[in-house]
Amino acid sequence: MITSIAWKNVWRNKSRSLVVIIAVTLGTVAGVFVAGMLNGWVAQRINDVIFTELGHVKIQNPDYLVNEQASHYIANISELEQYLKHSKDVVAYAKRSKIMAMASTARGNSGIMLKGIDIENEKNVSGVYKQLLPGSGSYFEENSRLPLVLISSKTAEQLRLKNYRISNHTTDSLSMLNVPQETISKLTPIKDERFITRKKFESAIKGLWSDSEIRSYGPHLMNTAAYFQPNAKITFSFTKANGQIGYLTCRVSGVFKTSNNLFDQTSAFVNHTDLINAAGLQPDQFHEISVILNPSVKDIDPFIKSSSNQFKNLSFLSWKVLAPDAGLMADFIQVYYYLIMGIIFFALAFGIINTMLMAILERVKELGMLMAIGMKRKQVFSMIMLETIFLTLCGSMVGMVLGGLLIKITEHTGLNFSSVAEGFESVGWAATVYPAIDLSFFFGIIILVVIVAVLSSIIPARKALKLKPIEALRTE
Amino acid sequence: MKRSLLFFTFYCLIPVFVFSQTAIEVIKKMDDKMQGNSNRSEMSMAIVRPKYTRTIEFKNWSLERNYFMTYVTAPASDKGQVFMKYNSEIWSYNPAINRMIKLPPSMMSQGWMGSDYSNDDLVKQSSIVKDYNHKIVGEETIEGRLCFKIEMIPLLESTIVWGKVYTWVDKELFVSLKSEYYDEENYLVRTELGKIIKNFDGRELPSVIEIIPAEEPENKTIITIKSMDFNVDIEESFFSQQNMKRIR
Repeated sequence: MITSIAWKNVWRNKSRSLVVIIAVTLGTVAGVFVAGMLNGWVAQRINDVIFTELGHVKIQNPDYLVNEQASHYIANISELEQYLKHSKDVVAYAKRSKIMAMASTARGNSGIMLKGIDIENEKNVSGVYKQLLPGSGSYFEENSRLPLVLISSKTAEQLRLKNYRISNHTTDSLSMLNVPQETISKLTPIKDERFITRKKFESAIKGLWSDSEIRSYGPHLMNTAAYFQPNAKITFSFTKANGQIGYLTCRVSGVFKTSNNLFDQTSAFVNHTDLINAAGLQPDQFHEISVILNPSVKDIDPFIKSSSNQFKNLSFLSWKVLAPDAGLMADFIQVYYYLIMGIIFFALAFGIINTMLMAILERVKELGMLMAIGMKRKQVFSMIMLETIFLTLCGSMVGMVLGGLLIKITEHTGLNFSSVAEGFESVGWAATVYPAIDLSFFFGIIILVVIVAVLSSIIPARKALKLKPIEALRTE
Repeated sequence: MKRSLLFFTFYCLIPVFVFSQTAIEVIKKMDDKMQGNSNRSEMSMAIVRPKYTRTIEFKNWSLERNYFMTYVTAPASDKGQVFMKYNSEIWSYNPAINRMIKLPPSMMSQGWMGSDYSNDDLVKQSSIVKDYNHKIVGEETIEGRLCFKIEMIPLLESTIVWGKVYTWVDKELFVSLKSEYYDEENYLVRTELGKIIKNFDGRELPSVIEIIPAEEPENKTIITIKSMDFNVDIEESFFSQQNMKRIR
C-alpha cells in the first residue's frame, strides 16, 4: 500500500522529479565512468608492472639491494632453480645478470642498467618483446657480427640515435593525410637533412611553416620524420667483476617503448652470454630472478614466506613492494571508487533534500488529511523515505546503464590522453586508457544509493512528522 | 689468359698493399712523435662556451701510454687536483677534501674538467694504431703544408664510437694538423685542428690543438702546449697513489 502510494507520489510533479532524476543520472554516469577509467588505468599499470617490468616476485641477493655490484650475485642458484621448477605456484621464471653501465655513441652518453637475458625464456616472463617500435628493428634477430642490444626509445633519444629527417616517405605520408601540397613543398629546403634532436628539428620547422600549419600538421610530421639509426653501434663501459673497467660494443637490434619512462630509461637488454663474457662473470652468476606465478595464486605473500624460509640468504620481494605506487593502488583502488561515488552522492543529497522538502511543503494539507484519517507516524515516515529511494534509484539505474554503455563503447577503442601523455608516462602510467569495471561495483552503487536516499529523507520526513493534523488541515 | 689475369690482379694489388702499409707507418710515426717513451709537459686548456671561457693549466707526466699523471696548477679553485691513469683506470685526488677516488664507468664518458675531451678519450688514447684500419686516400694542403689524408675506419670489435675518422698528417713532420670524426651515418661530429708548429725538445709539434664539435661550433676547447720534454727519467713507481698526494 505505502509502496504504491510512494511510487505514485514520485510522478505527481513530473518536471520536479525529473530534474532530480536527471541530476542523479548524470552524477551516476560520471561516477561510474570515472571509476571505470581509474579501474582500467590501474589494471593496465598493474599488468605492465607484473608482465613487463618486474614479474610477481623478484629474487635477489640482499647485498645487491644495498650495492648493485657485479659480485653480489645469487649464490645457490641450482638449488633455487630446482625449487622453482617443482613449485606448483610458479608458471615461469627468468634469470638475469645485471650490470650498471655507461652507454656511449658518437654523440651522446647515458647511464643504463644492462640486463643479460636468455632471449627465448625472457619472453615467458616479460612482454618487452611485444613492445618494439615498428621500423626500429627486431627482437634479437638482426644479422651482425657484434652482440645485439635492445634499447628503449628514451635511451635512443639520449644517445642521439633517434633522429629526424624529411624523406620521400614523410612527404608521401603527409599528402596521404590531405596536407596541402603547398605546405609540403615548404619543407623542400630541409629535405633529406638529418636533425639529431627533436629541438633542432622543431626550430627548423618553425622557420618554414606558419603557426597554424604547425598546429594542424606538426604532430604528424614529428611522428613520420622521426627514425632510429638502423643497427647503430653503442659502446657500454662498466665495472667488471674484478673491479676493472670493461667494455662491450653492441649493435642495436631493436627499440622498445613501454608505458613506464623510468623503466625505459634504465633498461637495456643483451644476450646473457655476451654480457658475462664482457663482464668477466661466470655462466651461473645471476643477479635477479623474476618469477611469474599461477593466476590462481591470489595472495603472493604465502609463497614469499615459504620461499624465504627455505632460502634464508636470498631476498624475495613481491611486485607490490618493488612498485609501491602500483601496489598501493591495487590495494586501495576500491576505496577510491566509493570515495568518488560518495562525494558525488553527497553533493546530490542536497538536491534530493531540497526537492523532498518542497514536496512536503506542497502537500501539508494532504499529509494532515492522511494523518487525520488514521495513518500512523511510522507509515508517514516510511512513505516519504520510500519516495526518496524511488526517486534516487530511478536516476541511478538509468545512470548505471548509461555509464556501463559508455565503458563498453570505450573499452576497446581506449581513451587517448597523449596530449598530456608525457606527464603520465614519466610516472609509469599509460597514456591510453581502456576503461573497465567490475559488476560488483554496480551492486555497491545500489547500496550506496539506498543509504544516501535514507539519510537525505530524514530531514523532510521529520518536517512531515512535526505537522499537527488539525493545523495542517486548515492550511490553504 | 688465366695467368695474365692473375698477374693483372697481382699488379693491381701491389700499390694498394704498399699504400696501406705506409698509412699505418705514418700513423705510427705520428703517434710515436707525440708520445715518446715518456714525456713531461705543461699545458693550458681553454674551454670556450657561448657565455664564458674557462682556462685550466696543468702539468703532465706520462710513461709508455699506460701511465699518465696530471696536476692542475690553475685556476686557484682547482689547483692541486690530480688525475692519474693507471692502465685502464683513472684515479682522481682532490686535496681540498683529501679524497682519492677511482672514476667509475659512469664518469668515464663525461668531459674531463668540463672540456670536450672525455675521460674515456684519455684512457683509450693509445688505440689509434691498433683499433683502426688505415688507408691513405689522398694528399691535401692544410694551411700551406702538404699532408697525407688518411682514412681510419674503426675495427668492428673496437670500442671506438666513431663511424670513421679522417686525419691529415704533415708529410714532413708527421704530426696531425687536422682530424675529422664522423658518426656511423657519415655526419661530422667533431673536428680537431693542430696549429702553430713549434719546437719542443727537438720535435716540431703543433702547439695549439682546437677541438670543435660540429653541431655547436661555439663550444670549443683549445689546448695550448707550453713546454714538452721527451724521454725524461720517470719510473713506473712514479705513478702511485702516494705520489698523487705529494706531486707539485
